[in-house]
Amino acid sequence: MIAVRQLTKQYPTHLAVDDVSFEVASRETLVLLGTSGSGKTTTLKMINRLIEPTAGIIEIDGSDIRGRKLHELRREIGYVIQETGLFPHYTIGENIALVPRLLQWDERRIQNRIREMLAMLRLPETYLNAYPNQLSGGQRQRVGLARALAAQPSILLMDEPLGALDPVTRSAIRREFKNLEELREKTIVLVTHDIREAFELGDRVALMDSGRIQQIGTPRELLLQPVNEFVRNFFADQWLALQLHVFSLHDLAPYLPNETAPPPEARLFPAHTQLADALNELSGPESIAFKTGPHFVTVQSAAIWPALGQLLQKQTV
Amino acid sequence: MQEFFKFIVEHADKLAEQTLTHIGLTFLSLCIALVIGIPLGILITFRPRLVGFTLGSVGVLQTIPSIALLGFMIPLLGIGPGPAIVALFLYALLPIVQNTYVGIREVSPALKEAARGMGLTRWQILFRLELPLAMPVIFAGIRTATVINVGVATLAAYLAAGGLGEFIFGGIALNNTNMILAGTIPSALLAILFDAGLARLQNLRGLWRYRVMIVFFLLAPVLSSFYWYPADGQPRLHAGFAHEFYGRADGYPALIRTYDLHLASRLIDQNLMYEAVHTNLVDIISGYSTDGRIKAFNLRTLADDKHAFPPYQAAFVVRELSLKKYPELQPTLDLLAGQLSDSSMTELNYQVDYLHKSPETVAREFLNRSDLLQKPYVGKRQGKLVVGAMIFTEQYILVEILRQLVENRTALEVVTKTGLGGTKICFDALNAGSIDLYPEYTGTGLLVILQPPLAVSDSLQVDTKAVYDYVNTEFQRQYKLNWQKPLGFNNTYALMMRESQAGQLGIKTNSELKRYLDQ
Repeated sequence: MIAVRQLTKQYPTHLAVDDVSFEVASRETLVLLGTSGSGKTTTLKMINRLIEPTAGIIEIDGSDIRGRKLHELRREIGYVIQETGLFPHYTIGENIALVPRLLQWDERRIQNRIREMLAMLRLPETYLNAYPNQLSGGQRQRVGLARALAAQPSILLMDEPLGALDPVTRSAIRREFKNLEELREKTIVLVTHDIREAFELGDRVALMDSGRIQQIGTPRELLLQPVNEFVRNFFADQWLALQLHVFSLHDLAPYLPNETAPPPEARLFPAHTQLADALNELSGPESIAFKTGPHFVTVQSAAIWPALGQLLQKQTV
Repeated sequence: MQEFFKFIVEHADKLAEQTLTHIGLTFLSLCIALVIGIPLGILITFRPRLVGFTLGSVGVLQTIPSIALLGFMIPLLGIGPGPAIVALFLYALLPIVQNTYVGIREVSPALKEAARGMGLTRWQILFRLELPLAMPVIFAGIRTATVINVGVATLAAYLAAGGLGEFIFGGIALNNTNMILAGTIPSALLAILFDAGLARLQNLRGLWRYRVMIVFFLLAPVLSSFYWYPADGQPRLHAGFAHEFYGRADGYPALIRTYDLHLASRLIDQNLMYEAVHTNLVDIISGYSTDGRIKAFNLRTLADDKHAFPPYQAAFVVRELSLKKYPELQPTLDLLAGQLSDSSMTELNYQVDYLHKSPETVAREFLNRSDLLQKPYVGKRQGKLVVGAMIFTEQYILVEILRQLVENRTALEVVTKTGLGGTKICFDALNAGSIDLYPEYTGTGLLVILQPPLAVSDSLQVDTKAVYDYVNTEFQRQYKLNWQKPLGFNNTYALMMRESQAGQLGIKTNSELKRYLDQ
């Protein structure tokens, strides 16, 4: 879907992006993770040509983006930035309708799409005629996403989309985004400096430093098989917490008792649910259940930890 | 205070017309400044290299004192509404260009990048994002420019472009406080009104702001059109009057009284008046009957057939003591009696003012032509005669004629003291004996020096000879000063038109003008 080859951006004073290559498959979410100055945002902006590369090629669906008209290219790519990106003098409705209007959709289709987006993001229709400064940060961020999705692009570029939010709102919105059906169908490149966010949202993560990709892979690969000291140290602080993001209930199955039918009092979860999410749902001593093959596994929150311990022991051996 | 309101009521028509003209001038120049300034401000956001030069240039324009900027317009573009609007436009440019530029530049770069990222073109970003967001700042600039222009537009009257400055300049010229206030207060009120209105607009929020701003942009050209709002229908002829003429009882009011002649008039600086009629800006002016420009610009002086204007016959006023002391003086002075007609005096003024001959040469040529010179006196000079003159060309020529004639015919040495400020100064000098004689005009002697009761002056004014006799008698009686026989010309107010137009319309007298206008 997106192919980036030997991408380099040289500024007069420094080398921002140094020989970066990666591919993003259709419907995959790739997270560019790194500290500020690592070159992740520059890389992202070269994909919709807000920044022109010094060298290298970017292809979308097999064709070089330099062959495309700038505006057409950008209108086909959704772009989400921090909440500041909403036009302050446009109403919420006008903000969402921005790209469809540029594409000259007919007005009825635009109005339907706006209502659809509001419903999807659980924003009341009364907000249609409100201005961005009348909304909370989280609401603005949802509108920002709605605006990027309005014209139904197949690719979405997100630049620190949740950067301006407080941590609580941030994780709430993150979870909400993650569960949006429409987002799962998009090919997404997301830039963030938040490791948890990267692990939660990314199918794969590219960890960048000094303009280079240090390692690219699934969160589990980065966490458990770091290729160098930099990658290892990068995750060292949150190593334990991150485990909960890279393992799913399914991974714990071998270390837990299983039975043929779930106990009636337990809530049933999909097996691929990340441990972090499962723990979030648990309060107190209640149990949850999931299905592996023909069997059901039931687990109490307290039982997760020993099972995880066994799993880790096996991983590091 | 009462007098002020009386003045306002009496001149309500004129004031309304001036106010409309004033608003028209302000907004006409503002509209031009908007049409040029906003695109210029936008252009420099596209071309950052031009920023310094552009803002520098319009900034320098702003530093030129407004009166000087208007002054520069006269040699460059002449007089009239055109040059005045150009000057006002140049003045309004800086706040508009600068605020457009700053307003656009202050739109958050993140927002502009978001817009680019979503696929807006450069122009779409300009019209959908930058201009709407910069609008409050641009409007602050428009507000500044409007207030500046309301103030500077008072100076437009100096370029004969009308507006509330007419009364201000007129009031200054006539030392008439009510007249000054009649121009100042409305112009200050206009400034406050526009300032408050635009400030309110600037503070509107949301959709209303854009609606009202659009209304403003539509309204500005309408306000501009006030400039052409005809005061009383479309007058057939436009008059340009010197401030003094407009205000003095023996000027325009006398014309109204005598001929019932009402003219659509504009107040103009008296030095620009002749050029104004010459360049078709106006059709009729209130000139002085012996001015050199009558000839230079080929103007026709309309005869004052009903004697609205008091006679201003020129004659030398001499101390009686001096005449006794130098008995040879009287016969010499008598030689000049009736030697100069209106047209010949005009010719002499023309030669000095326009052909740049010296008064000395012009005087000598005149004396030779008139055959007044004898074989010159060559003996030793005995006695000294001091001659005064006021500070304008005609007086210089007259004293030069006198000097050459007296020195030709008598043993007297003549010393001239020219450049005396005016009648009052000359008269005081004469009375005190610092000078022996100076050229004066009967009307001035009557109205400035003698200041007789109204009944007396009214009874005299129509009659040239009666005025002369009256001043002569009274000067003799009160001051022991002697009016010599009139030189022959009458330097008084006169209506003037372009010779071509007057000829075409067949107008030779004020009465004919009145008849033409009444048709």
